[in-house]
Amino acid sequence: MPAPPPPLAARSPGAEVRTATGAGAVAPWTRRFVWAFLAAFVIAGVFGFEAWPLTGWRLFADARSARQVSLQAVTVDAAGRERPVPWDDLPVRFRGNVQVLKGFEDLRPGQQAAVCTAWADAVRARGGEVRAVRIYRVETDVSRRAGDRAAPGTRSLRFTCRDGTVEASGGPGG
Amino acid sequence: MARRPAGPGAGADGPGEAAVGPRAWTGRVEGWLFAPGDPRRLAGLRIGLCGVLAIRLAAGPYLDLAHQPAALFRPISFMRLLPSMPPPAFVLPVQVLAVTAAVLATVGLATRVSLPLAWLAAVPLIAMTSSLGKTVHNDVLLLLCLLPLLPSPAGAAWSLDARRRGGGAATASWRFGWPVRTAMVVVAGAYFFSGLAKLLHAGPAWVTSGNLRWVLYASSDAQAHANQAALFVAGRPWLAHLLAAGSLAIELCFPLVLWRPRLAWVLVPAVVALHAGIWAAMRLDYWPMAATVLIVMVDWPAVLSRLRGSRARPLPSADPRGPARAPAPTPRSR
Repeated sequence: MPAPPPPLAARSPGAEVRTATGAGAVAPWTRRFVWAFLAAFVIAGVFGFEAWPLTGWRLFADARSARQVSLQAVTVDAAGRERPVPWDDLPVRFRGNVQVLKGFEDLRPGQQAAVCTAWADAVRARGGEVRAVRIYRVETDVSRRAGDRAAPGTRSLRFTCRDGTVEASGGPGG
Repeated sequence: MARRPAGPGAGADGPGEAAVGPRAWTGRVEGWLFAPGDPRRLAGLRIGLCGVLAIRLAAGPYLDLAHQPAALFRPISFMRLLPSMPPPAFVLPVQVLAVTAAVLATVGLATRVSLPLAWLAAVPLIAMTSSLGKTVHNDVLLLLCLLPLLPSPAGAAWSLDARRRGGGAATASWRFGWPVRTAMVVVAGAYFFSGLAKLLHAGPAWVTSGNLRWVLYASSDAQAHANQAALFVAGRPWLAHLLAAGSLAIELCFPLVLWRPRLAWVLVPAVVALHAGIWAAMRLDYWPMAATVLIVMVDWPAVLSRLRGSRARPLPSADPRGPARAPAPTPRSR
């Protein structure tokens, strides 16, 4: 009769709690620490709970559609010419524009003005002339291509920031 | 990826072991988590993870972020206690301290102090990069994998501490095993939960719809120059579906490396390729996350031994059978 299979511990390299050196059993604090940490990690992962550095690991988690809505910030000079805010050329502290723009509508007017002022100052700091900042809602169908780029979408003005004030125009909340 | 301890489910698929309850399963997981480990494997994690941390901390844009106008501050977690980014007078000394401590931990000098200090100083700095409105997952995996190392004897081997102490190499002990295996669970869990989030938020449409095509088109459109890699995939629906399915499968299957270590030969390169593909098509740089996976999931002592053309040196151990075997479990282990 074949011998019964050895316990898991004996088959995995060193897979048991007492050490070969007789160094003793696992310290209770270690056991509690590991289980508490893993429990928090798993709870955050399963329930999408964000308590940084614990996270729900939402990486590209939403399904996108071809029709995409975004907000675009442009500066306006004295001649009325519009230029997109050059995010990639601004210092890192001004990145995060996508998230700030997404929540722009929900900000209080004073906060909206402060955001516009920060962007305008950043553009001025690199030599740009800014009389106003306009925020447009842009709707694009990325499946419609014009060469390597999406075909131009539709654009509607939502906010104009000028002289410390913000004027909303059109759309919900505007 | 070479030699590694069998996973928590190893041997659990035998016919005689099919009926196991939650208590027995927990015992198996504990038996695996707290199994003795090679101090050099733990040292490999310390050197790799602290090295990556030192590079990230030295190159991070924290001083620039310290000058951010308060109106743009979008705090996460404990950063909500602050009205704006921490000021330069705080950030600069903390960054110097964090980099110094991370370098010391990498070389294993005063490891018991330098490693926790590096981690604690890194947390507020890295939280700054995630206080722009979006969680930066790049460094999160690194921080979480380092956490189990903080109270561990990570400087017992391959360190200046060990060299100064003298007295020969450390022996295999449970003290060196659990930090490595806990980090392995974190890496596996990160990818699994990333896949799970896709299923929960988007469902099968993440694969079956044009999701990946639209993501890639939008990403290419947002870049200064059209991204040909993104356009190549987005222009071929069958390829986009295949890559979406493959990505989701890799993420959801990644924990299998804990059960079947040989799968690491497939899944670890697949995850690295996934990050490389994201960089090529979207210019999103996830190198710290990919590096963390390699550092944690690869058995570096075994790799080094193979590179030297010799068999892995047996660990100093009182067990005459060597480190790859262990005495019968004690009641404490069950």
